[in-house]
Amino acid sequence: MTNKESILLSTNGLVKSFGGVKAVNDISLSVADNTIHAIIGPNGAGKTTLISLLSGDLTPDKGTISFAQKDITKESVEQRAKQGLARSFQITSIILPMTLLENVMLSARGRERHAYQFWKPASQNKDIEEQAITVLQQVGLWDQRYKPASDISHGEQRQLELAMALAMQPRLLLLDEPMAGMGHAESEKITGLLGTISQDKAILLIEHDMDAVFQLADTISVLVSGSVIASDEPANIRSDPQVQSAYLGGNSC
Amino acid sequence: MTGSQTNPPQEPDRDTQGKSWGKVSGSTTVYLGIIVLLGFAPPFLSLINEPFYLDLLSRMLILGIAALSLNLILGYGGMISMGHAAYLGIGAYCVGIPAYYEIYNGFVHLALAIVLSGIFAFLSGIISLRTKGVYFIMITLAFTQMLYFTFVSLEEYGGDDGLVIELRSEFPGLFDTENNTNLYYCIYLTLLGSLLLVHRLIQAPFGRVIIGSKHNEERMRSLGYNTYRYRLVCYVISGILCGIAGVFLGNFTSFISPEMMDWTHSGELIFMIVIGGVNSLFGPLIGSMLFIFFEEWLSGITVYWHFIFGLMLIALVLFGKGGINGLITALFGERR
Ligand SMILES: Nc1ncnc2c1ncn2[C@@H]1O[C@H](COP(=O)(O)OP(=O)(O)OP(=O)(O)O)[C@@H](O)[C@H]1O
Ligand SMILES: [Mg+2]
Repeated sequence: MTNKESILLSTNGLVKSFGGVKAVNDISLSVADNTIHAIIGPNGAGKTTLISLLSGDLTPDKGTISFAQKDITKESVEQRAKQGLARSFQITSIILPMTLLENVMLSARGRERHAYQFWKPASQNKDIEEQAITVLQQVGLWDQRYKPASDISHGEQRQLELAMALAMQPRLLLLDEPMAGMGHAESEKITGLLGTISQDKAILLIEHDMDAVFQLADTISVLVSGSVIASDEPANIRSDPQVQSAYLGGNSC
Repeated sequence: MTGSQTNPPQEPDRDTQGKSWGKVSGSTTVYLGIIVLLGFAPPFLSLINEPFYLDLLSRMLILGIAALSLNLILGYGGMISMGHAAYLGIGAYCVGIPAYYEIYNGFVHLALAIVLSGIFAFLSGIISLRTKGVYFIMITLAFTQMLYFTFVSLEEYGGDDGLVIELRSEFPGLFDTENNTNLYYCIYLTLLGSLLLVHRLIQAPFGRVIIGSKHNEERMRSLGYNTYRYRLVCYVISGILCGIAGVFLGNFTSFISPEMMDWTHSGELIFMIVIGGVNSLFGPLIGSMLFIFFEEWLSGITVYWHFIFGLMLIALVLFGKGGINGLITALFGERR
């Protein structure tokens, strides 16, 4: 299961403060190819802040990030995305007036060198359309593809949110609570999908759904008040007394 | 790839493909009808012997092109520029100053207008596009004011008073623009070309990025799009198109002055877009036609026409969602 030969992403001593609050405090972690590294922790632990630092939406006060053996700490969001780093947002971030298909096609095209194409309609790119359709099928939104993103339910918007990250065909997926807001059936479907995808992709997964986390993760790190208090295989995390008292608290699983 | 194809739902109605710009809908038919009628205006007006109206129409179409170019950044791109009259001025001066040196070749005028509008848009865009919202509005206004005062200070070209253009742009061997009908058709064809250009641009991948960035810039960046650069390119295209409108404005009025770049004219272009309907291809043209019509009509009735006009605008903004385009769409079909 654990296939840790090649580290794709690693961070070294990341720090990010907001005013006096150290949201991320000296985090060093790594994600290997073809594995899922889950981050769990209570509300306000700094999980989203960590993802934003990795994606480039925030710049760290201290520390470095390396991706595919390259220091990307100073690179912009779009430069990182082009190199194969995709994030999904905890607060759904889609383009509401566009159809689902258009949303996902925009994602699929983002990976291309550029989109300075001024004449031929975007909708006529069959290659991009096929990629988008495939992803929409995977997340279960294919039959809604011509609806504007504003016209689907909240749960479906969550599926679209994930689809947009998937369609980028990244090397590393940074998923911020992808299942939050989805129904039970969809959650299970997406859990299965992430399992399949992780066979040839690295995933950093933040998720409150403990069933999904323990089912999927190769490594789990527990984040409390900006610091990693434990990082290990799922079985060891489950039995770690420090983790139990700090986070799992007995009411999960 | 997964099994969701087992139960393929019906192919949805094509017209519900989001707000897919460009499907021929009822409202589009109305607009195309208006465009065709505009093509027959000169023979009709000479038949009823009302040449004055050709002047009015020429002005409507010139400012229609300008408003269309502004809508590209304002409507589709969400960049509210309060300085677009600068490009009308640049275009007009690209006719006037060469004409002052007896260079009347229209291709020279057009080439100058394209290059200089492009450069001005590029330089002002580099700075202004780093800002958002009110700051963007103020910076675009500031750049245009700078240009305005630069031309005021150019005594050689009439300074504040401007300059009379003795002869219109010449297109040797093609047509004679001294003839008002020819000039009208020249403007008309440019308008058609501009409409086609904007239509294609917004459907193309480039336009999708511009529209996406208006609605959710953060997401577009995380998809790998350098939104700033796409916007800059869009801003330059818009400026160039408006500069071309300026070439026609210079020819049409046969007179140039810094007043053409006055901030009130930038504001009027925004009004035209709001009247016609932000986010619609034909809205800015319809808006400019109505704007000039009311300006002409009301100013003939009372000197307080600005006041009445202002009230009408307020009413339109408050009650007429989507401008005239919203109305036409509601009456003739889909798209929205
Ligand atoms: N932009 C910001 N400005 C100020 N404080 C912030 C900002 N973003 C996050 N914080 C603070 O940083 C801390 C970590 O927030 P973060 O959103 O990373 O937590 P989280 O683990 O994702 O929580 P949740 O499970 O609720 O999503 C919190 O105390 C939060 O209030
Ligand atoms: Mg969070």
